[in-house]
Amino acid sequence: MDEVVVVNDLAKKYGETVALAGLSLSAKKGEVLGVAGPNGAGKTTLVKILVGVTLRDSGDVRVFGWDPSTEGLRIRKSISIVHQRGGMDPFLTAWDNFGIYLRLRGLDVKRGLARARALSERFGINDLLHRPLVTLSGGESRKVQLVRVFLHDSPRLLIMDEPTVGLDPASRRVLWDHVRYIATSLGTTILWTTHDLHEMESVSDRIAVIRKGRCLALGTVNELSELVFGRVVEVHGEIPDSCRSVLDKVPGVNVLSITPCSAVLVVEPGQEVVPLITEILVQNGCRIDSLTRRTFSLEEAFLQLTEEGD
Amino acid sequence: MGFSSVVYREMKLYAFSKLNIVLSLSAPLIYSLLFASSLAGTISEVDFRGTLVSYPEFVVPGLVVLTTLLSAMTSSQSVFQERDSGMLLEILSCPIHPNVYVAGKIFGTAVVSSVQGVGLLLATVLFFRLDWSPMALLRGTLLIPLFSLTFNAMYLCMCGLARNIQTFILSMNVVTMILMFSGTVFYPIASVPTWLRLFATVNPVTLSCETARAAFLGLSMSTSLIILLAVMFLITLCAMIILRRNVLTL
Repeated sequence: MDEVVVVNDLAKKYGETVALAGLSLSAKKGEVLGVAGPNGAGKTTLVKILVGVTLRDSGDVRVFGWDPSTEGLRIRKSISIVHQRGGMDPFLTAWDNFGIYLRLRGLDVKRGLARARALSERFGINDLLHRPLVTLSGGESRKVQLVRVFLHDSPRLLIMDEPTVGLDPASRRVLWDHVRYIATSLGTTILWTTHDLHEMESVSDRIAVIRKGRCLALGTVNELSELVFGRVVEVHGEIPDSCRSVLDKVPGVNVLSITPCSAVLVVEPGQEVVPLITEILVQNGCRIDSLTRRTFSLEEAFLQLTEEGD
Repeated sequence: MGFSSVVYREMKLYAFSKLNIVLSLSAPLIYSLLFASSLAGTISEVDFRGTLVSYPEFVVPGLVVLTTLLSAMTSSQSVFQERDSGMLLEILSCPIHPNVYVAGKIFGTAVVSSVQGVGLLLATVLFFRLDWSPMALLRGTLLIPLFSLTFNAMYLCMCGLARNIQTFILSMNVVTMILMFSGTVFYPIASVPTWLRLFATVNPVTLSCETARAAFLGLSMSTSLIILLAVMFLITLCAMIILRRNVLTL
C-alpha cells in the first residue's frame, strides 16, 4: 500500500468553532509531508484525529487503510508522535520518562533504554538523563522529548507537531538528518507540522498548506511556487515613486513592494510581461541596474496563499 | 500491558522523591496523633455496637479511613495536571484504550492511598499500643485498598464533573468537610445529630469506618462490607463513565 495517510473532506467543530472544514490530503510511504498553516489552521486537530484520540464530525480518514475512529488502538501501535506540548512528567528524570514511555507503548524496555543511551549521545543530552525535567531548559526538554519519540525503532508513521520549538540550530540539523534517514532507510512516513518554512523546505518532500481547516495547496516547493503562485520579478536600480501607479495598471502584474532602489512584482502564471515592464520603467525615468525573474520563495508563497502578506 | 503501565507511572510519580513519601505519611500521622491524643484525654471509652472500647481503639480505624480519604483527594488532582501538561494526550496517543487508562488511574491512585493508609495504621497501632490480634490486624489491613478504591473513584468522578482545577478544589473542600464530619471518624453514629443521621448512614466514610472498626475489633462486618462493596462498584462505574467521557472530548 503506497498511501499511508488519506484524508478526504474532513470536518470537525468544537462547539461553534470550526477546526476543520473539508480538509483533504494524503501522504505516501517513506514521504516527509510538511503541513504548514497559520495558528488555528487545524493542524493539531488533524493530528488528534489521525491517532484516534479525537473523533471527526464527517469526512473519511484512513491511516494504513484503517479508520482511526474504530481502529485507533491498532493504528497507535504503529506510530510515534511528538505533540506540541511536552507530554512528559516534569518531576521525573528523562530516564524515568523514557521507561514510562516504553511501557506505555508496549515496547521492549531493556532494548529501548539501550537505544535511549545512543540517541541521547547523538542529541547531546547524555549528562542530563538523571536530572528532573523541571531543572532543564526548554530546549533541553525538547531534546528529551525527541529522543523519546525515536525509542520506537520502526514506526510506520511518525507525526511531529511543531517538533523544533526551542531547539538550537545545531540540534535542528541533527533532527532533520535523523528524520530524513528514517524516512529513506526505514520507509517511515513523516507528517511534520511547523511554522518555520525554511525548515519545511529543508525537510519535506511535499507540503500541504492549510488555512481555516482546508487544504489550500499540496505539492513540492517548486510545484507550489510555480503552478499555484506565479513568478516574481525583482528590479534593482533607481525607481521613482510614480512607477507604482503605472505598474499597477499593467494587466497580470501586482506590485508586492516598491522602494526608491527596488521593486518586487508578482506576475501571474502564463503572462510574459517582462519586456513591457522594462519599457514602462524606462519611460518613467527609472534606471535599471538589474532585473531578475525567480519563483516565489516558500515563505512568500505561504503568505500569499494564506492571505497574511501585504 | 496498558493497565500495568498506567499503574507503574502512578507509582513512579509517588515514589520519585523520598521526602515526598515521608511528608505524605507524616502529615496525616501528626495531624491524627494530635487529634486522637487530645480527644483520648477527654473521652475514656466509646460504645461501639454494644461493646465498650477505648477511644484509641475506636478512633484508629477512623484515622486510617481519613488518611485514605485525604490521600485520594490529593491524588485525584493529577487528572487536571495530566490534561494541562499534555500528558493525557501523550498517554492516549499510546496503544492504550481510554477505559484501560481510566481503570489504571483509579487503581494506581488507590494503591498510593493504600500505602499511606497502611503506614498510618502501623504508626498509630504502635503509638497507642493497641493489642489487636494478628488476624484482626490482617483483616483490617486487607480492607484498606477497598476504602482507597472507593474514595479515589469518588474524587475522580468529581474531577470528571469539574470544568477546571479551581472548581474542583473548591468543591472538594466542601465535600470532604461534609464527608469527614458527617461520618464516624471521631465519634459514633449515635452522636451524629438526628437530621444528619440518614446522610451519615449512607456516607461512604461512615460505611468504611464501621467496616474497619468491626474488622479490627473482631466483630461481624458482613452487612457493612457488602454495602461498602456495592457502593465501591457503583462509584467506580460512575468514575469510569464520567472520566471516559472527558477523555474522549480531549
